Amino acid sequence: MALFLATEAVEKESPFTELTGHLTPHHYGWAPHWEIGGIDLSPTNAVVNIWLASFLCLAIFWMAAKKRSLVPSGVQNVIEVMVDFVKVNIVYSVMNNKDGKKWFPFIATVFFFIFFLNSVGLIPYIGFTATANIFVTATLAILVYVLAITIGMAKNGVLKFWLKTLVPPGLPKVMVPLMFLIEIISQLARPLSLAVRLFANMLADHLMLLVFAGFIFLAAGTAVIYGILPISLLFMVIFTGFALFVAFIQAVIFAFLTTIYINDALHPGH
Amino acid sequence: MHLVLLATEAAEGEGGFNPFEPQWGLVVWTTVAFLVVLFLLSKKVFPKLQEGLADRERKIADEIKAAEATRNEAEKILADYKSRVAAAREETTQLVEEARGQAEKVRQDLISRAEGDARLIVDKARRQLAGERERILNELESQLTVWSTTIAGQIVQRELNADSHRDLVDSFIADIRKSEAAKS
Repeated sequence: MALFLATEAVEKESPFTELTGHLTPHHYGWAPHWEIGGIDLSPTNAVVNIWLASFLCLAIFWMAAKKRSLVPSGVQNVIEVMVDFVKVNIVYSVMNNKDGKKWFPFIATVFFFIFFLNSVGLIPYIGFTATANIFVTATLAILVYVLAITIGMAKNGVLKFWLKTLVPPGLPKVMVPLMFLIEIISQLARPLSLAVRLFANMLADHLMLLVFAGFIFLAAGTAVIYGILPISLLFMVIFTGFALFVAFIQAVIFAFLTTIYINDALHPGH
Repeated sequence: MHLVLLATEAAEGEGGFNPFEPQWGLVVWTTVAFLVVLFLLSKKVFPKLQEGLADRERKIADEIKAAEATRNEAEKILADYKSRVAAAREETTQLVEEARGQAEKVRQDLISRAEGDARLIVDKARRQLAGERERILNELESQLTVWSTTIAGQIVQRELNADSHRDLVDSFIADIRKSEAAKS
């Protein structure tokens, strides 16, 4: 992918501009311009990437759910293994059976939606990863956090929820103001850390690929290219594999923290 | 890293790479896409997948239960078979012992009967021999009398020298032999 971008970029005046441009949403020349309430909703490369990730996620799951056999194989097998992984290692490792059953669809959707958003950028010629954009990750983080505190308040009552959340039970009275302050910071840090962790990891991942591609451009036209080219290509292959691993791990972390936040909201003070 | 910074600066200089530039359209699209995916997966896909997984778990559990029942049944049949085999073996041993006892009894019976028969035959033979002996002796005795008389008559009829005496005896013995041969 990066090589393709690099090849494309080397023909331009500034290869760096072209390369880093692939980390920034931009409009397609052929795409229509949509604007509602001052918000630009045009199908940029980032938007198309989100659509594509959503479509692939739904299509693959649709196939797995439609073609069900007692002994799974192919897509059904992969999806069932992943669904079982989310169920056992993420949802039921934190929640009790009752909560797990209720919240599994939401948490599994978070996991698979993020996994597909992370992975689609690795497909050759796609060239953009939506989760390498802080606004995408922040949206998901805020959605999760707002949902968690909303269900927490709905289940426990607003006052009781915040009291139990911000003042852990059994705390000596003298510690209450300090803990209250720490808990407020901790609560604010939750969506922030969710958003920044995913964004930073995915951005760093793609920057690494671009750096190795960049070496090729720097060395182009010099004798060093013969040494740089194979090394850069090798590292790009290695980092592409590593990027797939990071895509999976980051989806796991996001889904796991989502489960913890929802569980904390359902049972504050535990 | 230096390269990245250079790249970032170069791009920023041309108004390219700024990860914090507001993208409200992305916020809207991310929310919409997530909610659509959540709705479709929650309503249409996960229930089917979970139902499939539950069906499989149920089927596996049923098959395990059926296999356990079959194994218990097999164990019961095996135990029954073993007890039957043991009983049959015991019965066989008993039958063999009984047969051996009966055979021994028959053998003893046959031996004693044979011994009795043999004894009877021997006694009969002895009695016959004794009778024969008695008869032969009586016959010999009467014959001797005849022969003595004959010899005495012949002695009286001629004077005997040594040679004529031998001839006489030889003739006498030859007569006896002839007479015996004629009898048998």
